[in-house]
Amino acid sequence: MAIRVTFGEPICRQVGSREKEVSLRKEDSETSITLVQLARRLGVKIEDSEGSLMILVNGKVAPHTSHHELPLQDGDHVELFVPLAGG
Amino acid sequence: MKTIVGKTAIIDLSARTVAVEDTPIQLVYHLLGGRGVNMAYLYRMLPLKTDALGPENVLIFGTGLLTGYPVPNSGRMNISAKSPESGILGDSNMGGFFPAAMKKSGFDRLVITGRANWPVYVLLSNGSVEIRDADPYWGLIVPDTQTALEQDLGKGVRSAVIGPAGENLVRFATVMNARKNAAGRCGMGAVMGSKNLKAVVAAGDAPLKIADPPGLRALRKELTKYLQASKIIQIYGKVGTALLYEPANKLGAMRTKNGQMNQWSSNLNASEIDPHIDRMTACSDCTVHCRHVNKYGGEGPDFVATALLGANTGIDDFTEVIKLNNLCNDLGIDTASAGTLIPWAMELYQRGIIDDKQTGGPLLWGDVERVRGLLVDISERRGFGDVLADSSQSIPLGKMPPEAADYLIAVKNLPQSDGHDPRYIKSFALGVAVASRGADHLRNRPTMDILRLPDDLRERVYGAPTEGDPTVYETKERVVDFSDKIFAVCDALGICRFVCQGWNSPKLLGYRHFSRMIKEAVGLEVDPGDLDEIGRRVIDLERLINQREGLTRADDTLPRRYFEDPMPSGHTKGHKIDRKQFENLIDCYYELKGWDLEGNLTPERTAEIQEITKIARMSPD
Ligand code: SF4
Repeated sequence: MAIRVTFGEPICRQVGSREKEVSLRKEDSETSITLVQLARRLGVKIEDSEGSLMILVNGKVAPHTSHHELPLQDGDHVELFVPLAGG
Repeated sequence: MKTIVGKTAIIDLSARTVAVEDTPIQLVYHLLGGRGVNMAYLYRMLPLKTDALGPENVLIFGTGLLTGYPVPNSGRMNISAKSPESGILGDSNMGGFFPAAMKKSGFDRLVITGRANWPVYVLLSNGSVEIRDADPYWGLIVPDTQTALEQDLGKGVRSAVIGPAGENLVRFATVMNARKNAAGRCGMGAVMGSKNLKAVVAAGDAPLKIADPPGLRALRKELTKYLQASKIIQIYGKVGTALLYEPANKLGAMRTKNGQMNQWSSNLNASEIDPHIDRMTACSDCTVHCRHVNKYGGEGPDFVATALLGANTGIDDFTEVIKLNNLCNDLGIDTASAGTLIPWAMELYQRGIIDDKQTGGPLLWGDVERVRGLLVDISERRGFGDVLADSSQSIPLGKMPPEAADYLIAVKNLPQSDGHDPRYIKSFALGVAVASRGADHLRNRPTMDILRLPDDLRERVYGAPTEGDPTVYETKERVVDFSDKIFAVCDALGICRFVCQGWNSPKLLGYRHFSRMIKEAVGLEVDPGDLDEIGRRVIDLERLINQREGLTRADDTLPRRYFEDPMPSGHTKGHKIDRKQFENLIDCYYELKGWDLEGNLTPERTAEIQEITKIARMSPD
């Protein structure tokens, strides 16, 4: 089991795939990680001066305030999108 | 320093006369150009309660003050008239290469009245205007018209043309230049058709006079670098607006099956687009290149076409969606209205409000062949296509039953333009309700409202604290007001919305950049505060035009569904618009605008605008 991560455009182009799996570091007795830690491991910025990514965890939008706290565990599905709007 | 202005041509197609004059400098000072100055002519020259398809309607082709100048994304212009679709002000922004070519042919603006006795086109070259016979081109689809004009007039000419839809007075017919650059909204193509005007062709390429050429060169370099550093600009250049589909769909904010659903197939995600695309392309002087050249002989699709010809119509095959998009462009049909009206009819059929007798056969979700046939029928005004060709006017015309209005996703009679369902993001809902041309996102969409920007950054941009939560009503008047004004300024300058501060990023071009661009290009000193006031003035002027056509506060509203039907699935499940909170928000918006609770300007403001615009008329005296 691992955390499954899906990348929307154009993040998938940056990381080179549409999906990746991230395993928890069992050797460090890791049982969960936060979204911020997950993003760091993937080399993805979830926040910059032009806004934050929209992140879904198991199909639900993770509130901005939860990015440093929400514990992700094996089997969770995380989806990362640049939340552009307009037309 | 003397401000550089070009010429305005007043063309009477009935009398076949042309008068050319300097663009009135007073209008430039107060409204810049493009949409701003167009509105002054519309306000002053449009007779009260004119038939939008009658010869008295005034059709205005207006380049922006900076259109054609070597500054980033300056390739755009506005076409304005009374709209045959909505019955109020019609105005549509267009990119491509025609706008710069029109300016380089010597013209800031064409003000076209009357109706030619037979099909004509207008040829612009180096300060001269000719009205020519268009018989050989009448009946041709858009790309064939453009090719024929190039064959006859030379490869370098740029043309803005109508297709069969415009000729047949389809109320949402577009004006097209090249394969996909459309003045798409409000039926400006039908207004051209009603005047027997098949095309406007720009054949000139004289260099524009520049107030400070070295200064402008340096500024262009600086601003290009600034823009290209933006993450958002990089994204648009790679994926175009097709990118918007997946996040909107994941959120549960995708207009689907006429708003009965809010999520659709992942087949239309931008990640699926590559096999259909040859390359990216751009309008003139663009630093972004957001447009796809597809493998099926056209350009696009953008997000609007993907969402509305896809999800909203119940189609999930990307190839077919792209082909339908191309067909709309070839026929000269607005993808936004077509992708709203056909699903509207599908829901009416689903509910038994209309039946085979009216539709001439089943009208089922996802039936690609039926949609393809309907688009052709619309453009020819054949069978049920003739009903849909009248858009929202089909109800007052008695072609659709009155109860059909309950399911029409339109505001002020204009079908909603974009693929986002605004029941979740309240600032989007307010924007759609108050936009001056009807249900539209390009007038004021506060896209930054979903970026979760830090409080202090939002305060710097909007000039006051605002709520970061997109689902609350409080303070959303401020973000819409900001977008109203800066987008109006962009349209008056001829600058593309996609590089304008507030369009998905706080870091793009704002008033302080525009102020420098204007000074170096045309020598006009206008500070950032003045530009904000000009934006406000354009919105006020548009309000006056619409009120003269009979609009009131009651028209600043939303489709019934957005108030009554909760969103059915996804993260947005259960969201709808609360009428009381929405009306409070309208109060706050009016107050911020300086309007009374009925949405009226003060008598002093009205008098001020009347004074500014009085020079915009047939012949200066
Ligand atoms: S960003 Fe897109 S729409 Fe805007 S000027 Fe460039 S190519 Fe045209």
